[in-house]
Amino acid sequence: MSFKDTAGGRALLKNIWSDNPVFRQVLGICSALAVTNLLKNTLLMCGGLVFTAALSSLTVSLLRNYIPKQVRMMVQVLIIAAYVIIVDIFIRAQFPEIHKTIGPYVGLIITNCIIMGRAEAFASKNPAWPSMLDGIGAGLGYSLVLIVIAVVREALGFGTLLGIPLPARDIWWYQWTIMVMPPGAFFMLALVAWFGNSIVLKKEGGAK
Amino acid sequence: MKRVKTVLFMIVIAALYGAGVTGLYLSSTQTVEQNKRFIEQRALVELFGLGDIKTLSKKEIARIVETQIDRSETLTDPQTGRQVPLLKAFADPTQSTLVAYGFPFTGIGFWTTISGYIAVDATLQKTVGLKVISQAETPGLGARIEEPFFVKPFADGLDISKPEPGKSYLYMGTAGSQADPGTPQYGRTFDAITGATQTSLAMERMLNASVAEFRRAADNRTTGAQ
Repeated sequence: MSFKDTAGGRALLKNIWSDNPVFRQVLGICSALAVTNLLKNTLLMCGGLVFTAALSSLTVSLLRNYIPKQVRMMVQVLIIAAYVIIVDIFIRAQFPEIHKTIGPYVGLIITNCIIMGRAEAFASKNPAWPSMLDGIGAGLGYSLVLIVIAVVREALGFGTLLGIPLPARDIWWYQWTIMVMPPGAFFMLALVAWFGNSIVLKKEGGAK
Repeated sequence: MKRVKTVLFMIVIAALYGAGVTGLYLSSTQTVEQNKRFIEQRALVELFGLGDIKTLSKKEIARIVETQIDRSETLTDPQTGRQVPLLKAFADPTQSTLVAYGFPFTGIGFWTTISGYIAVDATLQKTVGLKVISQAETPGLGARIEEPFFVKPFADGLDISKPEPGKSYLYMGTAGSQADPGTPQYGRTFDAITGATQTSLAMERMLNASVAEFRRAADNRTTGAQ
């Protein structure tokens, strides 16, 4: 049995592409718009989300038989909040400059529907390992979209990638100020969602 | 019985996670404080030109700030009674040659608080530098207040002597434009940032307030009224 035929493998791959949380489920939009004008900030945010989604799903799955049904949502929020605070403390201590910019959005991971959604829909009903892979898949699917948006926004808005000036900057580049501002994120998100959806729908249509 | 079990479960899990997160937070406070201190020390060394921050180690930067910057004096604004710290930067650890004076500024930017230091010459009438220490303005737009093009006019020297009644200490101008001699803006203008008008206006507002406060406190010091 290959990896993609296992429950965890299927969940991971599905979350990355065909059930992508951002362009298929329209979740995690707030941070997708807010942290994508610099690739470095985006990578840190994505790392934080993958970490939180993976460990939250793992923990919820391990505790699923002990959590009373009436308070399961409260426990899930508590678990997610704890991991988010760990991410926040790590970034604050290791990357203080970046924390100033993305700090408020890291806190908002607690309310990110992607993590809560995976914990409730998958982790609370499945064993630990597939749940963790499902969480990682959701985080990677979110990261995929954010990284694409960030690469375009930073390149056009700043003429750099990860802060390194692109060769074209000295030849013909002109700053697209709108790409640095929130409307640039809206335009990019719409384009990525359109592109992603059209490929997935085309493939699904072909399969039928 | 089921309700008691549920409440107990919540108490135990909240206590466990709460204790874990609190422990982690407490163990990181020292690092966070060190980071904050280092960012300020690095900014001061750069502001007063006391060394090349790219080549200096953290320890060397800390030593320079400790031995070459005197923070012992505080001025008092006679109008509000508020204290204004006066920094004195020296060229060497023996503190024999004064490089410049400095004082902090702070205010609300477009998103949140902006703070930093302004360096002034020995006469306390002209700026010789500006350094933003803390800001969270829009990257690529308002956040450019940290970039060389924005701070250059302050390093080149802006007049912060007492202006005519009703006029400002500093003015925000169109990028690249020059104020005509004889106008209130002459020698007191810094460039606005294209696409970040609100941040530029906020800087103009907070710098004027901080310079006015410093001016009153400094004049109070020179007249010996303190």
